[in-house]
Amino acid sequence: MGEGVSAVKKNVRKRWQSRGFAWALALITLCGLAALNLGLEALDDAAYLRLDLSPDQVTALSDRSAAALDGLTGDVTFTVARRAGAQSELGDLVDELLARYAARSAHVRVRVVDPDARPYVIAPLNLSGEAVTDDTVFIANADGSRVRRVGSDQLIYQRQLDGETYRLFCGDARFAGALEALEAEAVHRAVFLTGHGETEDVATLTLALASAGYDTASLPLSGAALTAEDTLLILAPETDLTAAETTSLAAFLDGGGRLLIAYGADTPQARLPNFATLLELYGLSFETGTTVETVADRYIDSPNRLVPVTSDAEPCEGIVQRLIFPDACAVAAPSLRGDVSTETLLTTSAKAYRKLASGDLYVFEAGDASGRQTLALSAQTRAGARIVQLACAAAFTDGAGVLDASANLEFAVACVSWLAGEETAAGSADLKVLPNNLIVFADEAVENRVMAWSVAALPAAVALCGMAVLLIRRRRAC
Amino acid sequence: MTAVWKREMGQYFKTPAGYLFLGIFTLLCGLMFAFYNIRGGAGASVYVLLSGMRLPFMLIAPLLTMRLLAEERRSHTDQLLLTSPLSVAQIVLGKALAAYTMLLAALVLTLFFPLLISPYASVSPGTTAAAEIGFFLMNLCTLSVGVLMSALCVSQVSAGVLTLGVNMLMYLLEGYVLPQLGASYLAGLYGVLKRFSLSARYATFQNGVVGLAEVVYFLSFSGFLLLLTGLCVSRRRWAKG
Repeated sequence: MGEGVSAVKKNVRKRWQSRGFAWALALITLCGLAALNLGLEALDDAAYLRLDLSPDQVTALSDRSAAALDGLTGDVTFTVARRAGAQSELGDLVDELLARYAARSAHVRVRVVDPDARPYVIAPLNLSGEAVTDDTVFIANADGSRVRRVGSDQLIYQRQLDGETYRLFCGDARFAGALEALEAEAVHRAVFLTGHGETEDVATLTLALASAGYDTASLPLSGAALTAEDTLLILAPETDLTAAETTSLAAFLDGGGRLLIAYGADTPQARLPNFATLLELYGLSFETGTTVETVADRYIDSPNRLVPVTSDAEPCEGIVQRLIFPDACAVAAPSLRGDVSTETLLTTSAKAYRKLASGDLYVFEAGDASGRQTLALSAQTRAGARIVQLACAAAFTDGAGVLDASANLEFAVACVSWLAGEETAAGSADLKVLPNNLIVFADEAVENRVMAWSVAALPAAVALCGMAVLLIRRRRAC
Repeated sequence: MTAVWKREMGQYFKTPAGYLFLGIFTLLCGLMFAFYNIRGGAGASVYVLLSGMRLPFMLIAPLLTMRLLAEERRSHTDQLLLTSPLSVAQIVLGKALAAYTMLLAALVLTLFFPLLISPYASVSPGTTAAAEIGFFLMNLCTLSVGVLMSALCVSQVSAGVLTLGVNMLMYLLEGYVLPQLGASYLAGLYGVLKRFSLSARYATFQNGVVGLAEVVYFLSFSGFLLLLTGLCVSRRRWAKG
């Protein structure tokens, strides 16, 4: 036995003394590790082997995108335009997300193309002819007959709130919308009207609509070239339509067009007679004044931040969470045309009032309009025109700070879906609106204090600890 | 192996070396956090802090590794170690694990920064954890280079300089040479070589995503270096008979 062990030891010793054996072992291990890594990478491409610890799950698939991917009937190619050597955080996010798409659906192909080196690949995809920046993504169906373009600027959702800028990667919402649009029979366009002081604070609503598969654009009426497939959104105009624009809009509606128009309590209605004329053509109107609730569970924080009562009419279907309408006016249908039918969508309680007198907003006075106020209604003509009239534009803007805590976005998208004649209301539940990692100090003194702590605290603690231990050791040694 | 690990940990904390390493590391982190994150607008992102710490960590990593095996050779205590009942794997792993533990201790200290800033910003625990895990794994490789160099050299200084040199070489190749390749007609080669880049692998951790392929890559990279270290030490063991 002892001799055997000794022989083995001798043999091993001889082998180790041979330089060749060590090199061979190292080489074999290297090859094994390389094979393991390559195999894992291939496996990772096929079945996303990653753990997403991020709070907003930036690279996680939403239910909406998962459904869109699962529902793909043909091949879809994601072409990422990226110049050689270009590397960015956005690019990494796009790659990460598309890897998940490819792992989820066998119909998804992903390729990265340098638009400078291979312009002939990009040209047929870039139908708009806009400049192609790095990380612009083109999504095309199998025969290239339908292409959706998601610009790199559209991949970051950004909004200002209370002086802070919130930024969020919204690739999943954009790509899911593009996938839905690729599969849809027709793509509808949601056009935000500009040129009349309308609110431009609609980044979140724009993203919600894009994620629901709509093409979105902000255009003046002269450049919009509206078709019957378009839905026009007018949010809180400040200046009036011209006579020509009024005629043009009336013609658009008579031709089966769709309009969502929202005012607020502070919309200067007296200065907007042509808007009023346009609505009167269909028997609709806005009422002045601020609507105030008196029933506690029908408002939040203050009586002019209303929680409307929703009806069972179509765009309200499936809205289970509360809506919040801050600083709303009211809408009415005082003299309906014979061929127009309306549905009341949102109202206040019967104990609300609309402040018309000039006193305290929260005190009902003589001259105020009391009773149930209508906050939203839909109208439809026999010719096919559809109008949604909302008494609160702020409910859909970023600055009012109500989008995160309400179903407002879901309701807005549902209204646009109804206007576009789509059967199912498109929700926006997948849209995650979270603050980024901005550091906000109350003042410079606090900032300086935190900086001082960050630089000095740890080294000082380590030094103190070290000195204490070494002193104790020295004392013990003595 | 535990005995070797304990002995090395004792060396770190019974001498100023460990405190010096932790002190310098936390000071550099603090400066980086103050000027990158607070003043530089990088926000509460621990990834930004740690990715900025890669180069400073390379500079101080030799403090942890240069002594490990080189000092044993210089003072001839390696003969005691090599003739002990411990296997070579136990010796090498015990020493390497001690260095890794110091790295872990340093990373635990960096959690102070997100805690410090949390009243003023929204700190994401998941993204922070991913950044810390990624930094730990990436620097296992940095430290493993140091362990190998320490096995190759007799002098601590030579081991330290070589560690710094090799790590810097990798850093420069990844940071400066590779992107140049990407912009040239060798873009295909860039695509292949980028897979070996530690920085590129670490970049996947920045969004809070921990990939199995990356974890295995870092572990196999440092594991291979430890194998080479083991081969060096084994040759010496049998040569000394």
